[in-house]
Amino acid sequence: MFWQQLVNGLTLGSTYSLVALGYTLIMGVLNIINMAHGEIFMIGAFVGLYLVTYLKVNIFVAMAGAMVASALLGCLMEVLALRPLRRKAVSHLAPLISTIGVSIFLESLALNIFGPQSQAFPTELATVQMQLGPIRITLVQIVILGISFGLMFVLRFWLAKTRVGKAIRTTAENIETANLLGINTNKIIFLTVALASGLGGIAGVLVGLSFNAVEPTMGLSMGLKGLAVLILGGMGNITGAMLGGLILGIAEVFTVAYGASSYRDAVAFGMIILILFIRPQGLFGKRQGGRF
Amino acid sequence: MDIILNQYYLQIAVFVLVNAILGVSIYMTLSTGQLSLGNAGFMSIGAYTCAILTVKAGFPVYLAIPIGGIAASFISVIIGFPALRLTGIYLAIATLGFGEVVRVIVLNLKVTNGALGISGIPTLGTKISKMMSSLGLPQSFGGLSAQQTSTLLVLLVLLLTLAFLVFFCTRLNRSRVGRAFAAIKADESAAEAMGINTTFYKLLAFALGALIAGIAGGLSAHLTFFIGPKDFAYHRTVEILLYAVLGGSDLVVGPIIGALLLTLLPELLRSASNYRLMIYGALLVTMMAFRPQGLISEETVRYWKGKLGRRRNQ
Amino acid sequence: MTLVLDQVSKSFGGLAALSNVSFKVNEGEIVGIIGPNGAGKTTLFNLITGIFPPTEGKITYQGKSLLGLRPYKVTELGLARTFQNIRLFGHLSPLDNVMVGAHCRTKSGVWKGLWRTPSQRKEEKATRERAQTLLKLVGIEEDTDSPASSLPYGQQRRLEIARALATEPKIILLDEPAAGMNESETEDLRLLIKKIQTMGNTVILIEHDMNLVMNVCDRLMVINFGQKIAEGTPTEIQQNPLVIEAYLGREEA
Repeated sequence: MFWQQLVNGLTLGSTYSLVALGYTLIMGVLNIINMAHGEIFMIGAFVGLYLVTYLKVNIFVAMAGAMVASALLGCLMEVLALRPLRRKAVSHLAPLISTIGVSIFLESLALNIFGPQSQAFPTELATVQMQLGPIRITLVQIVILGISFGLMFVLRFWLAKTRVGKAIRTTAENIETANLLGINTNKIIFLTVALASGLGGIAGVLVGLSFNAVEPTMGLSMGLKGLAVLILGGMGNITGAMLGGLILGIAEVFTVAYGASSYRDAVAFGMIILILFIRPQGLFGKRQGGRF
Repeated sequence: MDIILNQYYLQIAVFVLVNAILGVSIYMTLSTGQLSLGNAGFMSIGAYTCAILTVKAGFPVYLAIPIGGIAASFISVIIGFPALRLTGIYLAIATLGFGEVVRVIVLNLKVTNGALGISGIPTLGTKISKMMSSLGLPQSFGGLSAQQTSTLLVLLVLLLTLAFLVFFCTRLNRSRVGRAFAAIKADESAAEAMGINTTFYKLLAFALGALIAGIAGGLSAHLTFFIGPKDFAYHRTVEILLYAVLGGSDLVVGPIIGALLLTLLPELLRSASNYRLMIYGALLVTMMAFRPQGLISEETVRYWKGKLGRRRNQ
Repeated sequence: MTLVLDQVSKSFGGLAALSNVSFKVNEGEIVGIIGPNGAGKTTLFNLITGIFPPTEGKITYQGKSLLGLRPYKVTELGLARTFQNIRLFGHLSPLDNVMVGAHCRTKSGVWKGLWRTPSQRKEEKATRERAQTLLKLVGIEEDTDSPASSLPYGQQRRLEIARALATEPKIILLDEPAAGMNESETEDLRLLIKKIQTMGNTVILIEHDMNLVMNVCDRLMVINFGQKIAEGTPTEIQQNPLVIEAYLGREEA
């Protein structure tokens, strides 16, 4: 039972990690929280769903499609809602409020286009499973674990070793210095937003597959969980986002398994309050300004 | 007379006033530069506490509403304290989570009746009518129907509440506490360096905001027969935020004007009701991009004061 | 009435901003802290006023440790400061800015403020009058409703000093108050600093304007690369070979 729940928790948690990484990347280069990230995740899920259902592509193509669509959406948001604010001197609340506006807009748009009901992926995908000792694991779970962990490792490597990755880290550290070093920070910001949103989009498809339910309100609850992971792991900390997501996933699964299933969504919030009380900088954050 | 005072318009006026009070609740917290995204949650704590007290425990309305407000305020201190020691973003996230958790708890507790909500709440209107008749006063005045009269009296109660809140905020602004709030909003670190315990004052503003939201919740519970979890969803908080963003958060009249405009707008745009939230979202983005200080800002007031020549500007 | 820094060090990540700085400030002195840009002078102010804690070392005031105290508590104890890049409450009037400074010496809360009780009105009047006095002291025409950010630069700097004085400090820390001032403004500033001393305050001054520093300070401390390299009277410092070397090629004022 324990190992089964652990696997379930890791699977769920890895999707939370992906979403949290999206928040972390944007927090790193722009120093803001993108409150619309959950909705970008949701739109990614719908794009994936419609690609599979209507264009009959296989699930991996659908994921790629979702990633592209979300990345584009993120870029659009950057141009329309975020860039104009950087030109003026606005309060630190302004980008936050602006992204709240984007999130509400997107959720309502999705409601109007896709309707409020929960939609499911075609069933062949969801039922294949296999038995590994005491653990029953579905194909969907394997796909999720594989893609999530794969993406996380690639991202880590990419940020650490490639030139573009290093440029992103420099921009996140100090944008003026990055400019002085000749980095085209505007391009880097675009790239980072696209990357973060793309990760959100893929996570959307994975979560939609995993629960076999895609609906416009999934953005709000996932968005909140991503924020909880952000606080748990430490704002702007990549390792923190990855590990924090896994921890939240496991905590939620065990909460359900050991009785309090209807309070599952409150675990994330409880975690936020607990961390704020005992260790506000998160598990991996530093006292002053957590960067990558 | 009957045209203006027909029940439909009177009801709208009632909603305008309740929304205005909610606008003041978020104004309070914004006056220290903090963003609370959980005001719908505080509203629901106030509403449910109040409704449970009147429906299940037989409390009188005028006691239940303040108690609801105090309950909301009390809880705000518990979640506010850890968050307000840190920068503003933490309060936004914590209150966002809080709003959701309240919704989940309300859905699951027996005493709140879960998704079915609480019904049979005595409306303020009927309460006032009963009170009037027990005092020997006529239930209708000057040719108005009993319903119109009671709604007008409800309007009066709400108006007095709003007026008191405006008085409260104006007095506070010109006092030591108000100056501390303004200093924190302008530059939190500098304010702290000037001897202001910023955590305490941020918490104070937040708790006052929760109190006001809780009272608004209690009032609104008694304006309709029924309250349910859906009434206090996150979208409500965003609407309240929009009152302040549209109207302006420098002065207390800003969110009131915002509430007025945004309560009337859906009535005028009945046909576009599906797109209401899309319009709100677009409005938030547009205001932040083009006029982040809102329609009414300190500058606006200074400008008009200068024009009317009431003060000499050096 | 002394402020004592004992082996104070501060590192950010791997970078040592200050190393083993020990220094004492006596009551009633005007002490200058000088050194090239980036030497760690403002970091010293930030440590003293509690913005962040030192990595090592002790800071005590009148025998009481300042470590771990939040900035507002440090101000309550009697240390006030101005900032290197002006941090006024821009959209508040000059008078309001100074009245904010009086916050920690007054006590009316929400209830009293709401009903304007007699004691509250008395306190407001006293706060207002004291603020007006301070504005006059630093040479700002009071009673303008315009936001403080619309004042000319030199006046903004003086306003910050008035605001700090409103906290009724015993020690006032001025961070480059003469930056951007011309000669006559600097002379007015020198007189103001002297006046603040005669009012019973101790002044710690970070400055680059050597003329001002040598003329107004009783003692100096020189910091370079985060370390104290010299300490003494202006005359002694001017003749100190280490100091001259640190400043070679740098002629300010």
